Amino acid sequence: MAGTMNTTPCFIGPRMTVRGALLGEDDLVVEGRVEGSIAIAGHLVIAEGGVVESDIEVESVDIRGQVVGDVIASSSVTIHPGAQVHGNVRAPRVVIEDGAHFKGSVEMDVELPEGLARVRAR
Amino acid sequence: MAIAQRQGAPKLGSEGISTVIGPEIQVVGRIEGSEELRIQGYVEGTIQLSEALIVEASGVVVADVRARDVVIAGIIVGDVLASGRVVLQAGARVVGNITAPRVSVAAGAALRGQVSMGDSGEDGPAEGSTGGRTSFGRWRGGGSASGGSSGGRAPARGVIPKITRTPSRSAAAPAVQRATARAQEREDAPGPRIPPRRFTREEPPVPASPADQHAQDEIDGDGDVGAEDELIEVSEDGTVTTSLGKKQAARPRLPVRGKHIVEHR
Amino acid sequence: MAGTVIGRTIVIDGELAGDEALVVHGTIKGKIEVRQRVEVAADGVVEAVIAAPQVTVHGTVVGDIFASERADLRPESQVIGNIRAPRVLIADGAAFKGSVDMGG
Repeated sequence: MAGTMNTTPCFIGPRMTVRGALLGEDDLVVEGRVEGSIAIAGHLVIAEGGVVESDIEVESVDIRGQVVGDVIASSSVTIHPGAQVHGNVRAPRVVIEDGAHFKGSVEMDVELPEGLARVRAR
Repeated sequence: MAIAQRQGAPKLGSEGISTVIGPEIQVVGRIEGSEELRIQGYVEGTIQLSEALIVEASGVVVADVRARDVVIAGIIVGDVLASGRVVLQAGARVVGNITAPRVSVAAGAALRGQVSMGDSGEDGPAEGSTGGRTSFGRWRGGGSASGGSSGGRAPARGVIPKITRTPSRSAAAPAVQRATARAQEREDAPGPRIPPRRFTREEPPVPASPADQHAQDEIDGDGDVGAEDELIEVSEDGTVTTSLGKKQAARPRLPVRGKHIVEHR
Repeated sequence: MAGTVIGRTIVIDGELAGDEALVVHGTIKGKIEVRQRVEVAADGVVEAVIAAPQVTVHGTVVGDIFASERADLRPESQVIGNIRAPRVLIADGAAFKGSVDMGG
């Protein structure tokens, strides 16, 4: 959402490798490789072929490539078919599409009826 | 004659209609079978099927579930193990770990728990230290040829943190706690880490903050942690200790990261 | 017809309760307590106490039957247990072992 004002997102091309932290308030598209960390107040797209080996903290993210690391989004995480994600995902909305490969934990807000919350505590 | 008809009718029903636990029914106990089971009501206990389990929007299952396919529009509190696929449809609410070759989570579904996809034979050993290495090796070999081209010093630095991180994640401790802990560690680390924190603070209306803390409390309070501790013990006896040891060993990595940021600037 | 159907291959070991008609083709061990009709089909096996307004048995029941309206043992049915109901029908051909209490 913060990024919608900007017409061009930051772009890491397929033959680029970033080793270090990426910080900012723009949208970001990764077609190459990022090792380090990503913390942006914007939308992140990890394109097909893109590889992120780091923790990610963003507003929202679309993953079509590979991620090895934890993903925290304040809005949503979408893991598309063909994507490979190995890490923990935490966001209010998480979508894992059929054909995505995911291993890790998912943390969303799950509102259970009161009785069940009690059952859980058992 | 009339009797014959009466006897025939239910048989037809059995073949035409799958098993249904209706919305006004509660079952407490164990359910097993080799046919499709559709739950509109409440089931507590365990469910084991060789066919599909369908939890409809009104269905509530407080049970560990084993089935070929599991389609969820309602609620499951418990672990789900499927040999085929697990589908969380919009409106589904699941608290538990999911293991299946194929897992999909639709928009509007809510999930909290571990997800493991892929052949169990492949992912199982990946929990161990050596298995972790091979699985990452495979990943790197597959998609990230550019990593190999980045020079001789890269592998050494690349490999060590990766191996150390693998067990910590597969040890399956509560993700958020781990993640936040890591974030806090980072905050203590050299300065350049501050900007991301600021951005989180600048956006307090994000629904994550209060609700998440709530969720955090829940996690602290209930059996999730215990369940996952169990997981650790069951999967690898040695993993617990090694993962803890390695986690601490992984810390020195942070200054290295800081150095990168300096370079980056 | 809406309602709960327990298919032939299903085994429930536990307690089934609710306000809904129930047809059992499979196996239930434990306890059945519903506020509507229970039918144990010819292929059904119930090793449980059954409490319901009406209980109709085509199959096998091992356990007591408490029917507040009527209990109906059809031909071919096999019932071992006590029956308490204001109306009890035991058809010719039914096998029954137990006591009947019609409330007198």
